[in-house]
Amino acid sequence: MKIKKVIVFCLFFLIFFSGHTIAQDYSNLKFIDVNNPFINKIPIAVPDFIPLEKNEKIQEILDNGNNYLGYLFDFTSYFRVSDSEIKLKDIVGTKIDFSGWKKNGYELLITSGVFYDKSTGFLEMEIRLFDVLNQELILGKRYTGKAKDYKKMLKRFASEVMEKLFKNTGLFESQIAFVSDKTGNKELYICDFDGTNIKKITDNKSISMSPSWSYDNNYLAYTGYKRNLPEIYIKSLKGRKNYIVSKGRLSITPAWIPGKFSLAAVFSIDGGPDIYIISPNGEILSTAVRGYGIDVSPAFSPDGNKMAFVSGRGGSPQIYIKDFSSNTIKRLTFEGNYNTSPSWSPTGEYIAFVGMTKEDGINVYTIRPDGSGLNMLTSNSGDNEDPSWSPDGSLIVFSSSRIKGKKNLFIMTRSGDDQRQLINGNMAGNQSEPAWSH
Amino acid sequence: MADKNRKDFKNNSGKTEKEPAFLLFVILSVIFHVLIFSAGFININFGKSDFDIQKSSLNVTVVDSSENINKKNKVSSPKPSGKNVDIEAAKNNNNSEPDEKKPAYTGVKKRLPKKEIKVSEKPAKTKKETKTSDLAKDLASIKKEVKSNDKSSFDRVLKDIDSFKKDIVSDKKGNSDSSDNMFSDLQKGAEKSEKIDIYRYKIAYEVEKKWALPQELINTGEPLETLIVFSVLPDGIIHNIWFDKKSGNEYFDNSVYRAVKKAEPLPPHPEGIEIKSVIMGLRFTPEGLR
Repeated sequence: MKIKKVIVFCLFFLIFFSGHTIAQDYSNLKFIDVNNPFINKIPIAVPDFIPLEKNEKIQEILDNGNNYLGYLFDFTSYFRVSDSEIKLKDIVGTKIDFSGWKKNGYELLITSGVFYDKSTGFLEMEIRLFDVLNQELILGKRYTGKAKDYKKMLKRFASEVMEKLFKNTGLFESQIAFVSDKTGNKELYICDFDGTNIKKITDNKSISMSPSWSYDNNYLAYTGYKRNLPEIYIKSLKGRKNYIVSKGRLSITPAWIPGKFSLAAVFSIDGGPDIYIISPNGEILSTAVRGYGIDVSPAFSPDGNKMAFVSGRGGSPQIYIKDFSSNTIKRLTFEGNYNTSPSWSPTGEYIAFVGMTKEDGINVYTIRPDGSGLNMLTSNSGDNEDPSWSPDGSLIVFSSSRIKGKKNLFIMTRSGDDQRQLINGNMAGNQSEPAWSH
Repeated sequence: MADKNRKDFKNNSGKTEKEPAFLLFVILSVIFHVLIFSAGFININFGKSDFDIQKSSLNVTVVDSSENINKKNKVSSPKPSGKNVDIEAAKNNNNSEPDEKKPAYTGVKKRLPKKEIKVSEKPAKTKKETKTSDLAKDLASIKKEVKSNDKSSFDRVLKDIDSFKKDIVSDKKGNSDSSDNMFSDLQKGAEKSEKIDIYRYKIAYEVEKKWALPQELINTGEPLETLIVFSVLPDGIIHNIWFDKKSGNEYFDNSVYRAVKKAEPLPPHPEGIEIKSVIMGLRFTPEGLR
């Protein structure tokens, strides 16, 4: 019995003592602040594709498209794709030695295998995304299609990676509409997210401007002067019905309402111009903003409950926000005498706009919807105008005259980093007023 | 089980022996409680601890998990210490003059090139040099590494280290009335704690260097804070990693976890600390991105 008592006592003592120790450990543990990440892009390795069968067609795809996946990730502001001397021997996780990739600082690894079936003419791509540190498969997909569509397959995979990692579909399958005077007239064009695959979509032989994508990306609304006065044109990109809306002597700057088949636009009906909510067939649903002075350039918050717009009611063009739920209007910008072209980020955090000052010229800025965090993104580089957000909110496309005074399209991150030309400089004329699809 | 024991006592003697046994148990328990609590107050050295998180004699300029994010900015700036590492440059940086070209928009954050921060060294003048030679070595090695990296993080580390170096000096002064032996013990303890604290900052810096977080992925208006804890074995291997608090942003938390994993193997323990593992507590926020 004595032994039992001793055991009970010892247990009691141990429990008490260890509890005391643990309590002491946590109470004294001091946390050191770490708040400045040294690496602003995620290191990802995209080694060469592995041909699962050798033939001429595969070699052609390997030659042309080997680096395309790396190019896609590199295009974003999220990833840093760099060359590695490590050669991939297999695409399957169990046969990959991750230690080398980890040693070189990579966090993610993509492996791809390509197979071409001569008899059917179909291409098969097997692509995997691995977590290098945990040596785990994050995403694995197999795509089958015509050999010429290999870029589509890679874009799709890149979008799925974005969805998996960041819960957004990224921008790889998005498009950008813009205005170009290449033909001598201002017409609308569409290109892929990276400025390639340019297509002309209007042939009005007059002025077409201010494009705006519907939220299903099936329609493009714009201001056209085809009939010698500014009117709203709603063009279907899927071959469906087109609309023209004209009210009073001025119908301009259309902007689609998130999630709805209706839009805001500016009309001079009696006085104005003022902002109205209309249906595509021209029916006025409500008056959004009406007051003294000019009210133009509506831009909606992602939830559609608020609308930024430009108004001269304060004596100079400034950006205001209309809150539809409280039916109030609040002035957003107070710095400078000329602030226009608001564009609300898809995440709702920021409004990009154009500000003009004597000292700095015309530049792109961002500001939070509550008026804080004013940030100048461009400087000393010609006139920078017409900002529009990528669907994931990571990039901004804008027009700039920084190269020989000719307007062209550029992109930058939301903090103004990585400013680069979007469309090949060989495109004639001026490119302006970009609008990124959703 | 307890009922069975009580029954046994009764059966063995024919009388109830529960009360004396229980009293003995309580008395012993009280004695041990008193001993243990006393140990806590008079700081008896029980030998090597598994963890190094005994109360440090240094008042480290770090933030407890309960502190507000902004509190760290209120830490007093370090006074000149006469030690062989000078952080004048870092202080100058904090008081740097505004750029000549004012932005036209008042309060607008403009994109301007970052200024380089110079970290100068002073010749050693006092006896303290020998005591802080390890510190000097550590700082010199960190300085080498940050030549091409972000200087602001390094400034912060320097400020923090200098601040708790200052505090240890004041601690020692405060104990000047004690006996020589006691002072000697305290000094040894303080040196060990100092080494551990410097090692901790070195580790924090190593992890920060590996932290990859694209600004575009973070809503900078969101108050993100992740507390992560891990233990470092003498050879720099990480033993356990766990979240003390998650931010709620899955990607942010994952990036923190990956930074710790990527930093492995960490530098080995400094000589002379002789403990089985160093427990690290790191508080990650995206403050530097704002």
